Formats: sequence, C-alpha cells, structure tokens
Amino acid sequence: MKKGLSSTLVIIVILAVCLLWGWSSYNGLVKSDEGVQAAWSQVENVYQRRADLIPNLVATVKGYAEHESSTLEAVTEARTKATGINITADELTEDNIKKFQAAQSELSGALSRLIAVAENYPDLKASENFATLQKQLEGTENRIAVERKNFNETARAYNTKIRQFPTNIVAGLFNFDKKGYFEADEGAEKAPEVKF
Amino acid sequence: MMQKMMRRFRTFALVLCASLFAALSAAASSAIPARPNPPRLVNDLAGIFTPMQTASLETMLVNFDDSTSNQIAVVTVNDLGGYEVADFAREIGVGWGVGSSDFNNGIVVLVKPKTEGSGGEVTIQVGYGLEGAIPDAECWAIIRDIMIPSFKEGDYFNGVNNACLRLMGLASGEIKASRNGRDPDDVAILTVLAFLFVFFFYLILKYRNKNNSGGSGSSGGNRKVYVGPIFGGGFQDSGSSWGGGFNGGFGGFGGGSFGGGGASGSW
Repeated sequence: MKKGLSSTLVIIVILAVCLLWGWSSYNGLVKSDEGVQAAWSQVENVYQRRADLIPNLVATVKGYAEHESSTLEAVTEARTKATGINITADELTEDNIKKFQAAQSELSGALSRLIAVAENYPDLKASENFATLQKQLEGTENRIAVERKNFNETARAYNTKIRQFPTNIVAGLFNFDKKGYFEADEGAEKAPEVKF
Repeated sequence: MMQKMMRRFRTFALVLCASLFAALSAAASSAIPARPNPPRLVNDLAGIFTPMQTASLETMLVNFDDSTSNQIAVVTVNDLGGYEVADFAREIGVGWGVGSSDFNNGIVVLVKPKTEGSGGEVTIQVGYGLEGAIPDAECWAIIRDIMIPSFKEGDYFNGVNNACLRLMGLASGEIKASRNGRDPDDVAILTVLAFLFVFFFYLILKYRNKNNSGGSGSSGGNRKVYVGPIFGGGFQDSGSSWGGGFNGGFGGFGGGSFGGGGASGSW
C-alpha cells in the first residue's frame, strides 16, 4: 500500500516535470518562431521599398532614353513578377523562399542592366533626379543585404532549436517546421555602382 | 596503447587546427577597428585632423549626445581592408553600438582619405531610428554638396564639421531625449542601494558587537578596515560611471543598430 502510494507520487512528479519542461520549451519555440516572422517582415519591407522606387526610376530614365524601351519593359515586368510573390509568415519553407529569391534576383538583374544602359546617356547621368534615385536604390540594396543576413541568422537559430534533442520532440508534436534561407547569389544582389 | 596515443594525438591536432582557424578568422575581421577605450566619438585613425580639430569636433558631438542622445561617430581610416565603404561603416556602427539601443539613433560618418594609390571614399550610415529624419537622399546631398567639395580641396575638417552640423540639425528634429533626464532614476536607485548597504552593515556590526560584547579592541579595528574599502569601492564606481556625463566627457556607446540606411560617395 505504502509502496504503491510513493511510486504514484514519483510518477506524478515526473509527469509534472515533463509538463513544465514541455511548456517552457514550447514557449521558447513560439518566441523563436515570432522572431523569424518579424525578421521576414523586415525583409519584405525592404524589398517593397525597392519596388516602390522603380516606377520613379523608370519614368526618369524614359525621359532621357526612350529608345531603351525593351530594357525598361524588362524592369517593369520583373517588378510585377517580384511583387506578385508574397509569402505569408507561416509559409517560410525552402521552396517558397527560393521562389521569392529567384523573382527578386531577376529584378536585380533587370535593374543593373537598366543602370548599365543609363551609362550611355550623359544627360541622364548628370540629372540630379537620377543621381538621387540611384543613391536611394543603393541604400535600399544595402538594407536588403542587412535584412537578409538578419533573417538568415534568425532562421538558422530557429532551425537549430527545432532539430536539437530534446526540443525536437515538442517541435514535432506541434508542427514547428523548418524555415528556408536566402542563398548567396553571385553579384546579382550587389548594388550597381556608378561613379560621378 | 598505440591506438590510444594516436587518438590523443588526433584530438590534439584537431584542437590545434580549431584554434588556428579561430585566430585566423579573428585576424580577418580585425580590419574593423575595435571600439575605442575610453570611448570617443571622433576616431581619426587616418590622422587627417589636427589635435585641436579633433578636440573641437569631439566636444561638439559629445554636447549633442548629451542634449539629444543622438550619437554621431566620426571615423577616418586609411584602409578599408577590402570592405565596401558602407559595409565598413555599418560594421563599426553595429560593432561599437553607436546610438542607444532604445532609439537606434546613431550615425557613423566614415572617411577614407584620398591617397596616392587609392581614391577617397566617404559614407554616412544612419541608424534605424533616424532613417526617417535623415533619408538616403539627404545623406547623398550632404556628401555631394558639403563633404566632397571640401575634401577635393584637402580640407577634411571643414567637410566633416559642416556635414556633422547638418546631420545634427536633421537628427535633433527626430529624437530629443536628454541624457540628464534619465539620470535621476539611476541616482535614486543608487541612493537606495547605498542606504541598504549602510543599514546591512550596521546590522552586522551591531550583531557582532552584541555577540562578543566587551571583546578586544583589535577585532573592532579589523572590522573598520574590512568595511572601509567596500564603501570606498561603491563611491568610486558611481563616480566613474556618472562623472562622465557631468564632466563633459563622452559617456559611451549605447548599443544602437544599423539597417543599411545612408549614402556613400567617392572622389
């Protein structure tokens, strides 16, 4: 009788400890997940910022270089495509991020072709409006680099957490999925540089 | 036996490799200057200012920090160590923690002077909290209209000084949190702590005295020696951390963060 009571007690204590541990590690995962989502919304913000600059940039270039309509159209098209891809914060899978990144780097490529074309138009290069837009674009590319790096670090910390024992048990129980990363792409994300 | 030794050797080699790698990567990241100690806002590592100019710039920026909590760090270097100038400045901003962690209101002005073998480069990097007050286009205007014309004439001080004046004008419209405004809270906490300490030691002394009432004089003397340094230490600490603000020296960086806002230029 006495033995039964004490073993029940032990089981209860063990269960309580497990419950407490599960509770705290679940909360830790939620917090970490929130961190990744916050980092993602920063990434979207800075990409949106770049997209917002483009109509102005295209209009400015058009004023000086109407012959370059194909380059200009390519930028506008790439912009439409890139802004069309929106990933909600709970769908940050590897595939989704890869798609997002592909569309954005296509836009980066189109943009750098546009900047290269602008080199051929001295009047355009000399215009203050273009120079300012150019600098804003440069600052935005810097912001993109920072926020991408920040997102990758946050996502990496989260992914490590959900894979590590014993937190992975809780992560598996409540469907905490692995998040994707941005891959370094060769030169495409670099801000096109213009010397004055 | 032999196997065991081999295994040990392998572990040793691994540890050696790891530490070598760590040392190498530390050396690679050392292109970014370490946070100055004691903290300074003006760090003329390239030596383009006279001591007088450095001092006057420092005083101006420290006063600005005291009155608005916005921190502008001016750094000059001769070598960017392969970094883009904007990245270099941002690494400094984040690494040193320019600006407060509450407002992220730091600015880093980095100048890499023109030398015989290399062109001049300049950047203004703006902390998250000031991006609204100082947009990229404004940074670019400052670089183009104020800094580069002066730099081209070799007048680094006026270029930087006038740029700082303009930045101060823009930043003070955004965040105005006087440093002295926050101090009373800290002072109050310190006072309460000091009282608690006094009370605590008073109790201990009283208790001990009661225990060996009529004890020898020598033990009483020992106690005084024991208590003395603790109070001395406490007051010294408060002096060093608060004295900075009152004496007009720079109080230190606050852990601000940077998101890539700002502009760069070259000449």
